[in-house]
Formats: sequence, C-alpha cells, structure tokens
Amino acid sequence: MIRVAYILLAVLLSPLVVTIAVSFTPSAFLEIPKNGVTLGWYREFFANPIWVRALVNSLGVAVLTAAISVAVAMATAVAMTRHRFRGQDAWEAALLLPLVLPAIAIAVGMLAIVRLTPLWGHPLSLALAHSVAAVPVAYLVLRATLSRLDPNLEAAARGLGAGPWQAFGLITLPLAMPAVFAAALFTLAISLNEITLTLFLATRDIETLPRVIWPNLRFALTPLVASASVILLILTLPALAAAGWWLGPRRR
Amino acid sequence: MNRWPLLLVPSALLWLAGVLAPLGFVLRLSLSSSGNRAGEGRYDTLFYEPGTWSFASFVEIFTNPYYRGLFAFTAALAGVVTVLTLIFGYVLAYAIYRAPMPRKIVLILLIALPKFTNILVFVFGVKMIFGASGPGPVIAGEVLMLVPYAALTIAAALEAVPYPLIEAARGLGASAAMAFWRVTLPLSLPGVLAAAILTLLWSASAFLGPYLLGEPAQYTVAVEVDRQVHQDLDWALAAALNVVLLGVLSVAAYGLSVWRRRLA
Amino acid sequence: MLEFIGVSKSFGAVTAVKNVSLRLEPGELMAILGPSGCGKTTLLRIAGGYDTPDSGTVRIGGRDLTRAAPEARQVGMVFQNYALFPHMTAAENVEFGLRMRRVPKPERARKAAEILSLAGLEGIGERKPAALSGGQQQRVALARALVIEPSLLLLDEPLANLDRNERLRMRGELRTLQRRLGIAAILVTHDQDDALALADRIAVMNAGVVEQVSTPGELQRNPASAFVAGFLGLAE
Repeated sequence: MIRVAYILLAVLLSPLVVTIAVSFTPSAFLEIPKNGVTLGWYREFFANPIWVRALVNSLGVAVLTAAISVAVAMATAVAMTRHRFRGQDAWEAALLLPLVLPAIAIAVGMLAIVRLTPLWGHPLSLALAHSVAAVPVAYLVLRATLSRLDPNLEAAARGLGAGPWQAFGLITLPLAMPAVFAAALFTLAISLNEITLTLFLATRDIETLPRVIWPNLRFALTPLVASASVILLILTLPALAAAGWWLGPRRR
Repeated sequence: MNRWPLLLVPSALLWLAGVLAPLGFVLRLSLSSSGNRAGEGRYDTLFYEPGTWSFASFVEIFTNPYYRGLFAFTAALAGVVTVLTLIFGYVLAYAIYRAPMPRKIVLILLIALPKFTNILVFVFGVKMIFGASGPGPVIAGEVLMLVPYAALTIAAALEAVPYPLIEAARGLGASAAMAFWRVTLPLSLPGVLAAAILTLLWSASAFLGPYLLGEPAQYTVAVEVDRQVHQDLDWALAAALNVVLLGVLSVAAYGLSVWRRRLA
Repeated sequence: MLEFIGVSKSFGAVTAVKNVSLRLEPGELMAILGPSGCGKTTLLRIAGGYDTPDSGTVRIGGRDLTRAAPEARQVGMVFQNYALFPHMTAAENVEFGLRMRRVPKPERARKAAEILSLAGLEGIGERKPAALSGGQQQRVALARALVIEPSLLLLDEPLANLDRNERLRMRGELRTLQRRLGIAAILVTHDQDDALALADRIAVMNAGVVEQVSTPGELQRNPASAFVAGFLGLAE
C-alpha cells in the first residue's frame, strides 16, 4: 500500500514537473526539451507588455487581498477566541461557508452586483472577491494560534496600564506574528491562483496572470504559457514554506 | 467595555456583500425573465429583465432533455471522481499515517504542493500527460485536483487512530489485512465521509477541469453556467442552473453529514 | 483600602459570586480561602477590573471603580500562571508598566534593577521567561506587579506552582516584602496552610458566598459553619 502511495504521489506531481520542463524547451511546440534548455520563453514573457501588466495586476490584487483578508480575519478571530456568545457556532459555520460553496455560484451574483457599482473594473473589486474566498483560510490559521495564547497575557498588560489597543499591539500581535505571516502568504497564494471569480469580474484593464493564461490554455498553446505558469508557481512558493512552518514541530 | 462585537463587523459586511448578496441575487435572477438579449456582445446591457417574475428558466431546466442530461452527466462524473478520489486519497493518507516524523511533513507538503500551485499550471500539465481533451483527461484532472484534499482530510482522521491499537489486534492473532479491515478502516471512517462530502461538493460543481480538459460532451452544469453568462447571455437561466445545483448539493451534503454524525 | 459592597457576578446560568461584601484595611494582607470553583478568583478579577460585576460596588482607595478598566486602576496583579510576556526579557517584563506610564528609559532601567534585586533576581534581567525557574518566574511576576507602586496587590494562587522548598521560602519572602512596602494585598488560595501562615485575616468562600471573615486564630477557634470547619480540617 505504501509503495502504491509513492507511485500515486509521482503521478500527482507529474503535471508540475512536465510544466516546468516544457517552460525551458527551445522548441516552438509543447515538448519536453530534448537537446538543451533555453530561457527564451521567459525572456519573451517579460518582453510582452500584456504579460508584464498581468503580472503587475496579479501582484497588486494579491497584496490588497492579503491586507484585507488578514485584517478582517484577525478581528474575527480575536472576537471568536476571546468571547463566547449565542449562535457562535452557526456564525462560524457561515463564515467558513465559502470553503465549500461553488465559486461559480457566487461569481454570477457578484458579476451582476459589481457591474451596478463604481467598483466595476477597479482592482479593488477583484481583491474583495478574492478576500471572500481567502478570509476563511486566514481565519482558520489565526484562530488556531490565538486560541493557544493565554488570555491572561493581555489582561496582565491591561493591569499594568496598557489600553486595549496597546495590549493587542504590544502583546498579542507580536506573539501571533508567525501566524499572521503564514496567513498573509496563504491569502497571497489564493489570490494569485484564483481564476473562477476573476473570470467573471476582471475587465480588460485589471486582468490577472491566470486570466491571461486562460484563453491561451484553451486555444493558442505555446511554451510561453508554461513559463507564465512557472512564474506563478515561483510566486506561490513562499506560501508552501509557510505551510511547512505551520505543520512543523515548532508549533507544538 | 462591551465594544468587542464591533470586531465582527468587517467579516459580517464582507460576508453579506460577498456571499449572501450574490446568492440572493442569483436566487432573484433565476426567477426573472431572460430578456430579449438585444444588447448581445455589449457589456453595458443587462442580460435579464429586472423586476420581472418568471419560472420559465426552471421549466426549461426540468423539461428540456438537454438539461436533464447535463445534470445526469454531472452527477455521474461527480460519482466516479469521488470514488476514485477517496480510494487514492486513502492510500496516500495511509502513507502519511505510517511515515516517521520528518518524512511525514515532507510527504504532506509534496501532496499539498499542487494545491499551492495554480490550477491552470496543473491543467496544463495534465493536458501534456493525459492528452488534450476528452473524458479521460477530465476524470484524471478532477481526481488529481481533489486527491490532496481527500488525502489530508483522511490523514487527519487516521492520525487519531493510535498505532499500538493495531499492533494489539495483530498480537491477538489478526492478520495485517484483518487488522486494517476491522480496526483501522472503521476508526477512520468519519474522516473518509468528511472527505467524501468535500469531494462530492467540489466535483459536482467542477468547472475548470471539464471546461479546459473536456469536449462539449463532458461539459458540466458549472460549465453551462459560464457558457450562459458569457456566450448565450441568458443570465436568468444561468442563475436557475446555479440554484438547482446548489439545492441538490445542499441535500446531498446534509444527508452525508447526518450519516457521518451517526457514525461518530 | 478596598471595599466590595454587595458584589454579584454570574456567567450564564452559573453564579460565581453572590452578594459579597468585604473590606480590606490599609497594609492588610487578606487571604480568600476556598475550594476550586468557589468564586474566589472571580472576586479577585473583579477587584482588578478584568471582570465587571453584574451588581454591587467596588471601591479602591475610597473611589468607586466598579466599571473602571484595569488600566485605569493602580492595582498590581500576579496571575496564577504568572502571565509573563514570553517575547520579552525579565527586565522588559518588569519595565512594561513603567513604559505604559511613559517613565523615561534611564529611570525605568534603574527602578526595574532596584525591584529585581529586592526580589532577589540580580543578573537574570536579560533572560526570557522560558529560561527561568518556576520560583524565578514567580518573583519576576511579583516585581512586575510591584514596580508600578500599586495601591493594592492581588495574588492569585501565588504559591500553587512551586515545589515544597520554594513554597516555604516564598511564603516568608512574600510576607516580608508586603510588610516592608506596607501595601494592602489580597491572596487567593485553596491551601489553608498558606492562608493561615500568611494572612492577617482570612475570608472563607464557598459556592460564591463568603462564609466567614476572621483572623487565623479566631477562625480555628470558632469556625462559623460546618463548611468552614470541614475545609480547615477541623471537623469533629
């Protein structure tokens, strides 16, 4: 059974390996490089203003998403871990609903609503939509850490003269910093990779990298798509490192 | 002193605007007339008639054999994908369960790696390996996309099964297969069902895999929603499809979670 | 110094403190003694402003502070688990209260060093709490509470986490220090030996109610109820 698992793992990872290999192909077609590798497709990526703008858009939206969703998730996690109130479980279940809700279902509604607002065509609309998907993840990460912090620490700071914000900023925030960092990286990764909501909400001016890869994937397949994908992959690697920290022994 | 509930306001607002309002809008949209689609191709027109009430879209979905076939295909695909995902997910989860400590984390990270990479990268790779399009690539793509979630969910449940318990069963004379069948599997069943719920929900609403890896014969309900929004421009019908899909999924998820609770 | 007047507090359906009235004199050390869950810690948290009573009044130094936030009281508290800030050194922990009072840095350092040596902690100022023994952590927590020159000191089971030798030593030191500073203190404990050895007066609590307030000697001679007698191990 274990041996079968490692074969499965190889199959699971093969699409990534193939994509990375293809991105270095000197051929004009989708081929594993046979004689020699080239960075030509990467050069072409950075020479093309459409791809570069998409990369810039992606990063901007991702940073906005991370800022919004970590702040929102932090406020929620503080309230949820420090206080008990009626209907708390139902509230939390509702909050986590986007994790299982088909993105396509909210995407149609979001499109119809956002088009009626000034947010239509503004990067903030994408960042907010991505935050809907990212907040539950950031919340789970922050809740886990905050619930392990001794509430007496903030109480002690208050007793020594700190106001509520000071106690949070000087005690809770520094102690939760690794989790904040992990949550930020996770939400960055979610935003960088989000496609369904983006497909419905992104206008020409705010197309992200996945949105530009999208039509290429269906129609004009060139190795440039592979290198664009690898660039996206590299951007999300820090999130994987965060996951490693998150699972690591330091946590216990 | 009691101003802490203000902390819940940001997430509540985001939830109302980003989850409830879109869902409510979809529900209302599904009960509107389709409109005459006069502004075809132009993005500044509405592809439904605001303020109207009509069951036409639902009637269309329930009477037109095309849509019945679409739902049947979606359900069949979800069933096949879920079963395969659970089997492969269990095998991977068992490997995580039995791995010693540093290797365990490496294993988890490698299994999770595809989930941290763009789904489009993944689809691209699947196309290269399993062929450009067709039922094979669709199923392979969906299973590979969902296996990491299933494996990690089941692994979490397995971690709660103390290994000495299995050794004790072996000590009492059970064969390895027997110990697995009688001890390990039943104890991990709630985790398997949790994974089944997630997999079924996600595979039944599969959009990217069938769209990018399939031919029109493998299109699912979610693909049809996108097609109605972006090509046929019948938003009322797209919304009604969403409503029916969400309804079916809610019932299925509820049924499975009741079953799971009975096991726990 | 500190006065509880008819203080009650419930959490949901559980009444933690029921109509408690107590009065602490300047310089007095009062022990609140009772089994776990009797409401003694809640009473202490109410004195510190960490919980707000449902009814009743709390006066500190003659002022009504019933609803004042913890930072608006000049009260030092030592938590049962010490609640030392794990990301700060012992000295930074001690200086925290002075920092909040915008005391200039050199004076802060001087005062912290002074109180650390008073607590017998020379040379450990640069260590993080995790690198300190239980007894040392306890002293840092005490120093941190005292450096702000509080009008009242609250001690939640201060000796519970110490081994037997440290416990006996700490008992003596605590008493000496409190006398020397002339500060009024409340000590919450479930251990009758600690209460009898340390306190000027003892308030025995049971199920949210104060059953008796007396000097240790009086308490042993005339327990007011079967509960008090039983809890002190004096049952006939």
